[in-house]
Amino acid sequence: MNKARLIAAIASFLVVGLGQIIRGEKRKGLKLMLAVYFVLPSAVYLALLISGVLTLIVLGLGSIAAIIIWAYSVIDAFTYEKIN
Amino acid sequence: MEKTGRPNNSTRLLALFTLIGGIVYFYLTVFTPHLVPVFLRIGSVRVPTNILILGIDMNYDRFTGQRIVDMNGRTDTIIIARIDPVGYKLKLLSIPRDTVVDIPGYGPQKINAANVYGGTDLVKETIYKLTGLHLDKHIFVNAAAAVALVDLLGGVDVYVDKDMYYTDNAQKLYINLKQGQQRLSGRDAEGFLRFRHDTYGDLTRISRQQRFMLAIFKEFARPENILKAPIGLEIARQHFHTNMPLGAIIRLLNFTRMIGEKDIVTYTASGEPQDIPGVGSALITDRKNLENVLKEFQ
Repeated sequence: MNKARLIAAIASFLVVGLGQIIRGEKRKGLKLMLAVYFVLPSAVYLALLISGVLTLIVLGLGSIAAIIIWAYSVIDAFTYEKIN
Repeated sequence: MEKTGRPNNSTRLLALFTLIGGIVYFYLTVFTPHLVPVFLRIGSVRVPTNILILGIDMNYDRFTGQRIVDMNGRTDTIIIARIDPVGYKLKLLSIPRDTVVDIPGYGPQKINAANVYGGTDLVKETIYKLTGLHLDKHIFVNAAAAVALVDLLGGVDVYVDKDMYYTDNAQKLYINLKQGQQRLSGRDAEGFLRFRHDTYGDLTRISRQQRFMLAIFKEFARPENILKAPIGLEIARQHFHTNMPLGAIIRLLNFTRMIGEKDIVTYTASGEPQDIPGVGSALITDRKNLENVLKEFQ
């Protein structure tokens, strides 16, 4: 039981959202993945096309958001209870 | 497609590959940017660009001991950086500060005086006469920037080619370094860059500066230093004076992150030391060498 939690937490540590998918919450895991690996980087890149100052703001806030989501993903994967 | 509206297997497979591809790309870009294939490198410099990098030595007020911040001093470091985003190479051509050139309107002089007479425009014009390279972008750096950058990165690994010991109270320069590979702090790095008591004078200092720049680039590419990028840009804003917009600087920084160590090539417009009346001990550029260098540089 504890081993499954640990594996999920490590998976989420390596790839954000992977732990959720392993533990059965596919939609949640996918959402986390899309946010960290697609939405945030795209926002930074789009900001760079517009202006340098905007890029810095988006990069700063984006990095903070990514770290928060990452931490959430690890903790959530570890504490999630399956409802049978 | 099933009646429930759920995607079929090939759609799922495509989505899965896109997802995995995106995640792999993300990690490569963050941790090992030089492994990302050239055509997939985004947010970087796109057209070949020449940038003039000018280093101004620090000066201190004789009475107050305060640092004088101005950009009108002699340029003791002159480097032309060639950004080649196609072959993904960074070429650095150093021009020794004692090089004798014909400064337009001022006659034969050492090249480091051009900035005093006519600012960056005159420096660019002078370099155009010497090398035939058109330059419009420039970055002014002073030694304080190097100190701040090294401290931000938590030190920089370089090989110190000999024991260096030098004290100059007027210039607030205290150098005390031992020979060997080592990690330099910001203060040490300043001494390393400014030391000039060498047998071959300026040429030795140039090779040190070039090695220092390589070391900084290498340090910069480390993944943990990405988070320091905003502070690095703040340092750049304070200590660098440039006519490049912020967006262009971000692209440039991203470019330097993505090049490997082997993709940086350094050149020097070397020459013969000679005493010239009215100019002093100067350097006569070796034209043949310069022509060969420029052929490779373009």
